[in-house]
Amino acid sequence: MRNKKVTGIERLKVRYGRMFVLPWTIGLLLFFLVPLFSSIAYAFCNVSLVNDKMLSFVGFEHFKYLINDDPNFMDNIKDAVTSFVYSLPIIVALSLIFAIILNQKFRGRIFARAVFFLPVIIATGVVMQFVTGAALQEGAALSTSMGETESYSGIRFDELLINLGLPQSITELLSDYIARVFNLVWSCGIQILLFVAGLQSIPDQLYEVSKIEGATTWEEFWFVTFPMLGNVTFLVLVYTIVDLFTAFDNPIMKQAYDLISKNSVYDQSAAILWAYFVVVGAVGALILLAYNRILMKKWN
Amino acid sequence: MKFDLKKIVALIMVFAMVLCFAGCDNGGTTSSYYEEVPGENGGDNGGSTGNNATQDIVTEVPTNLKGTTVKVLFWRPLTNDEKAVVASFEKQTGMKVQFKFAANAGGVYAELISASLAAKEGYDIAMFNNINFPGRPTSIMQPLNDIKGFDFSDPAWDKALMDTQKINGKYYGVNIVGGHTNEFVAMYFNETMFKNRGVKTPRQLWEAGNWNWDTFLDAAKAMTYKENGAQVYGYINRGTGYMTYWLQAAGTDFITYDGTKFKSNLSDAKLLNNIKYYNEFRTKYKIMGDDTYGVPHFRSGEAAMFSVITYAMFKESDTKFSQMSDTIDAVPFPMPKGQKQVALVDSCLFGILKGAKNSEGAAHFLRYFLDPQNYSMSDNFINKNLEKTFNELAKMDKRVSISEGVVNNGAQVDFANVCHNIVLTDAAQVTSKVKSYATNFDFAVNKANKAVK
Amino acid sequence: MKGLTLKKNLKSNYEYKKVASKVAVSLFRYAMLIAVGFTVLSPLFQIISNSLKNQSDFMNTSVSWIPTTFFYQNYIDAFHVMDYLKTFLNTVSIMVLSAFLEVAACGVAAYGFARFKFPERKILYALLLITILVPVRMTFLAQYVNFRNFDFFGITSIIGDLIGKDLTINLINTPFTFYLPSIFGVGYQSGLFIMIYIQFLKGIPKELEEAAWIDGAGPIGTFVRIIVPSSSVAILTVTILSIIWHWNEYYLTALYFNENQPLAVVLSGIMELIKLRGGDAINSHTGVAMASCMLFILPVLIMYLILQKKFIKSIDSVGIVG
Repeated sequence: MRNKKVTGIERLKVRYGRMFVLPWTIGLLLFFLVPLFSSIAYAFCNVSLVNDKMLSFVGFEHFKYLINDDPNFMDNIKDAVTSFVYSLPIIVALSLIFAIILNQKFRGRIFARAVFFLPVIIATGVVMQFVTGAALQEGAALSTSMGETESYSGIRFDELLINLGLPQSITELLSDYIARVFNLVWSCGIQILLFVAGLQSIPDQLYEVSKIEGATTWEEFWFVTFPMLGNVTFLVLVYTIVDLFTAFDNPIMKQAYDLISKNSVYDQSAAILWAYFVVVGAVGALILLAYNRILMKKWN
Repeated sequence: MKFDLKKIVALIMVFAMVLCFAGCDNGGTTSSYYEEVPGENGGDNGGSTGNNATQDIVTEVPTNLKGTTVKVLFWRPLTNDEKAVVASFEKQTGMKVQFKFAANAGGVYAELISASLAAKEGYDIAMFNNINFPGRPTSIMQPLNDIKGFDFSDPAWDKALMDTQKINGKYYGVNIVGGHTNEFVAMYFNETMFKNRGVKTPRQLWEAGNWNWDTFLDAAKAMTYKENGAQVYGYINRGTGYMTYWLQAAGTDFITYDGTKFKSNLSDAKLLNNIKYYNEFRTKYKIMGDDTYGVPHFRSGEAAMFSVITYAMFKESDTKFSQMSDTIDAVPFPMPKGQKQVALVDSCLFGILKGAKNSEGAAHFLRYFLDPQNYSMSDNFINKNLEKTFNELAKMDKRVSISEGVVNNGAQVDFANVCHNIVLTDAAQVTSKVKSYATNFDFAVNKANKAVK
Repeated sequence: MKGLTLKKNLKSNYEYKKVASKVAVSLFRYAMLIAVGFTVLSPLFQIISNSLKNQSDFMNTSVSWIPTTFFYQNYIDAFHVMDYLKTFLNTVSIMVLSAFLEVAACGVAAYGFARFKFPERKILYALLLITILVPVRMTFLAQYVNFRNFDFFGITSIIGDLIGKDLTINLINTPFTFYLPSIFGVGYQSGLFIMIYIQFLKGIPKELEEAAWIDGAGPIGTFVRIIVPSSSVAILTVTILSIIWHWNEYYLTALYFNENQPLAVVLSGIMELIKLRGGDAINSHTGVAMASCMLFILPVLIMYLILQKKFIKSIDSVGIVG
């Protein structure tokens, strides 16, 4: 009798589950899977826009070229992976810190939240190019790749530093550093929002209880806040990984995208993308699995 | 009431027929769609000869093209003048012209073309310039010599320009002499500043037949001075990537094309000497500042001469030279002493895409659309001297720099970056710096040569 | 704590520490905010200040942050060049509507993923991750062809073959290029939104649903009456993000729309448009471009500020939300 009941409900659940994801699956089939498989196909073929037969199979030729003969690909991969590995923890930690700050009650809180979220509104696409001055260069084609940040808002930090009389090597280092910090802060916006939302979802009761029990702020953070944020942190990790992976100012994406926008080459660019995907996919999956393991351990 | 209506309708029909006959009566033309069209935009088309020329273009359009559509992929939205020209063409030939344009110059133009080709939309016309050569024409365009509708014996076609980008002896892109889509490199100068210092202006030198690199250098030296503590430079360039102007003028370039093959000149003594000469502007003669982005410096009077393309000659340009209180003027870009004066061009050529459905109609459309006599360009120049220089440049022999296109097509290094690095290198290291790009440039040249085979 | 007998002595020490740490925290907080604020706000201030300069200000190298006059003519020009009212309405009707459709559709799909077990779930979840990872710009070519000759699973072309006519629909230049994917939950960044929803849904206690179940509400009823109200935080988050991203999307929109373009596309081509629609009459191209930027950012900024207040209020009112 008991078995029958469980099976009945479970069968219902299967049916309802499928029902809820059905529109999405149809959407996948209609709008996503074909472009996805095309992209994979491009990586293994020569793409011609004008021949009757668009694709002609060439196997791993593009990958071989990229790994062996292309002067930039391997360097870009190394660059991308290393900057990814050190940016990820910094961004996640920074966002959490900022979210905690923003979540507290202090004067000017609403203003502060608007400020922190500004990069999300501005940093996507079009406006960024005005910020970096790229869009205003005389007669310049408006580049669709994400602008460089070494001269953001027309404030040329390298010029400023040169004017201060510093030697060129130091100014280069400093401007690079400033640009990176700038980049990092500007990449945090969504993560901060997610963390704030997560923090908001922690029931106040838990904090009241912990206060009664006399926990210090530190203990409160580790035993109340952090565990409750487990889900959101996972989300933030996923988002940051994807963002770092697909941002167009990352040298690999730039290389792939330049091929498309300047040379209309779709096969090699697809190869770059998928090779990169394999690398980052592996790294990202490792990170996420490790995270899950740590979470399991902490709660056991 | 009904009775009156019938009469009125009849009257109108008679009236219409009379008009039609009056309009059609114009001396044995092959096209029955010819109508008297007043000069476009009310601007001066140079008198009666202009009108006749544009009428001739249209009269040659065969009647069987009536009702067909020409589809154009344009890299920017159309100006009002261009829209009027298109409308006039449609009216006179009975063809329809359909435009699709990229929202911004160069922005998504390449993607637009690719998407259109992949979806087999059958567009006819697209543009390529010296930055897309030979990549774009070889991969997606067709040779034009055999397309019905192109009459290359017509002197209006700018063959001097088109010859620079022939592939396998055939034309792949066209433009008209003096067309408004062309850009030439000019040496602008601040006439007021020159007069105030009592220095002979470039125009005076040009008109005396004495305008060359030597006299340029003298003028630049004379115009480099300190005034009230502010440094004024004799010359500034459009940007680091445009060192190629000084190479082209001397008849050399990183990569040259002779109509059949590409060649890398990185070990050429001539090229290296030229690059060093350009570097010396900044280091030895000090006529040029460190900041290489020229427009704001020229506008604010910090530089006396400035080399940039001719789009800055127009009132609506965003360089806003029209707002300068000083008088500006321009002369053609100088050549080394003793060498023949040519025009350096940022070319803009129009070609027919593979898979085009109406190449003949497209050919006629291009002949009409690009003809400067359809546009009142005169009104748009900031002053008459600029217009004079533009027209002189339009008639000269032309030279185009294709280095950027070839190098970027090789997709190993970025040409603008290469120039930037070379320009900022000290004279002693220039040779080794240039040679460090040899493998990348050779790769690019090989790729380009395979494409034009 | 450490024993009531020592309480009096320790209290002063403890309070001293408490006050000191409060001040330190405050200082740290404000220092952080100012530093970050500067990084974030300086570009914005630059844009604002540039948007109020006239051309002589731009040509005058000694003017940097503060324009000499409050040159609001730039905004008037920007309004005309962008054809602001019409473009704004276009943007709202195409992009904002897509955003709302997407918010709803993603919620539906997420509920299926989060709360039900069915055999295909793992594969679909993997596909979900792939949708997030593949950048739009790499797949646009196939997408364009798809929309250009839109064919519902090959059914329309089969019917077309039978009739002898070409029945494929050309969706390019229509807002359906965004509506359709959004309705099905595969719109712009939909994968991410589904993931956000899933994580938030996991936090909702199962008891609530089971209670509704027992009361006889079907899955749809449960969804509408229990899940949706409890997810207001997630819904708001996703709505804000979706609107902002749709508002800023200028790449696909540039390819799909030749007329009736949304604001982002207009802004991306603003330098050309200024030349075309104003040309000589405009005092400063750069100024107008900057003013256009501001006109572009402002609606989203205002929306965020308004919604953000609701964000906080909704938490307080919902109370215990897992």
